[in-house]
Amino acid sequence: MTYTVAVLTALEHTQTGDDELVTAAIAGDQDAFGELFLRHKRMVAAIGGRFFPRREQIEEVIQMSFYQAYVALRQYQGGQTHSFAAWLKRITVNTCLDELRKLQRRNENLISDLSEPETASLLEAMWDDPSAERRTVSRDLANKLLSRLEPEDRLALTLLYEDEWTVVEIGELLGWSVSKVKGRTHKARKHLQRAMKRFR
Amino acid sequence: MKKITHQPEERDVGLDEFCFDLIKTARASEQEINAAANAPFLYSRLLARIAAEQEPRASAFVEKETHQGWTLGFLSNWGWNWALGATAVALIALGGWYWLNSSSPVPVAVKQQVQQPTPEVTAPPAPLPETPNQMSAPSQIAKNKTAVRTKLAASIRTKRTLPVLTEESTEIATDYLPLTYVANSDERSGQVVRVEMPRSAMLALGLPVNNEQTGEVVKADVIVGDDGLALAIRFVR
Repeated sequence: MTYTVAVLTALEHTQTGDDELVTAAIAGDQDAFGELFLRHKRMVAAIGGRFFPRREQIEEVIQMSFYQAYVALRQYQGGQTHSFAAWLKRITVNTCLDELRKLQRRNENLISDLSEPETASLLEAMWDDPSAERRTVSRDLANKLLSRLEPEDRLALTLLYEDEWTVVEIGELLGWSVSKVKGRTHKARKHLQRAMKRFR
Repeated sequence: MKKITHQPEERDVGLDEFCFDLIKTARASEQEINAAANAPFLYSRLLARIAAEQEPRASAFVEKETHQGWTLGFLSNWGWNWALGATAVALIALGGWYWLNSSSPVPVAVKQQVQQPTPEVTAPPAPLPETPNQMSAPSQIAKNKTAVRTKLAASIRTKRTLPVLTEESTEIATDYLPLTYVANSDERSGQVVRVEMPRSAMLALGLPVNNEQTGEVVKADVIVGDDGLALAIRFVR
């Protein structure tokens, strides 16, 4: 009987909109929050994957993002201003920024410039079609290079290139002014330009 | 005063391509993303984190599911709690009053027994668990990573010398939790290093931590491989 009720509740949740699920979750319905988690965890993981290459790092982003969403659930305004997915996306991007800052603090003394062989390997992997093993190595090297950027710079640059968002959209997402987004991306591009010149 | 004007940035196509390729190269693969999204017990670990970090009142449904069951969950309504508390206090007061005013004499034998100093009794020491692996750990994580952990713990056990009865042997420890993927863990060797770290570090592994204790220091044994990589960790109390 209990099992039947649980199945019926789960079926009911799969057909419910995000806003209704949020309302139910605020009222104490754990299944509703679970359904929101199921629906959006892939999106959150994809955003985390743009900044963090390793599985455990992405899992941490998923957990922290949904934790922050849970804490702020009452502040969600509903679909009138933004959809739940857009709201969660904003939380996730900010979580990624926090994690990038943590990572930078931890690795402050460990980050060094790429050596010549590392540079050659990275360039070859970026412009050729590398094997799976070399792709992993080049991914780590690319992250090593990007980790020299300020977390805010890296975030803005990634959103600009990876998602092809405009500076206005990035500003809205992060709550930054347009000039701040432009300044951050400019700084990041300049840094990478210096690196590129050194490579070539 | 000279007015500073910003010239529009010239488009550097080569730099754009470089940035685009670099960011594309740095991102996680689809496999990694899917594996992370579908990691076992991810939702359970999230609930454990919420329960650990939130005040009990703020997370009504977590409290209901993980700690108290539906009965107390129903009673988590503040009105009910106050009513129950007031009733309990009234009952205790009534019982105390009745006991103090009861006229039934206490038997002499019982009085003497009460007045005699009780011999000092030392509680027998709690039986030590046979191996660290038999001690309790969060069941969800235990299920998740059993295979790697068992292999790692087994390999470490065989490398340890027989323990003298020290403080360590009376410790309670979690199972070893793998920190990284270890292929053929039987063939790996390493050393166990005892470290102290903030309790909040346990959160990173999905272990529940009381919000008030996050600032405390906790002991941990870290298995460090020959290559210097930390392979697994267990927390010790």
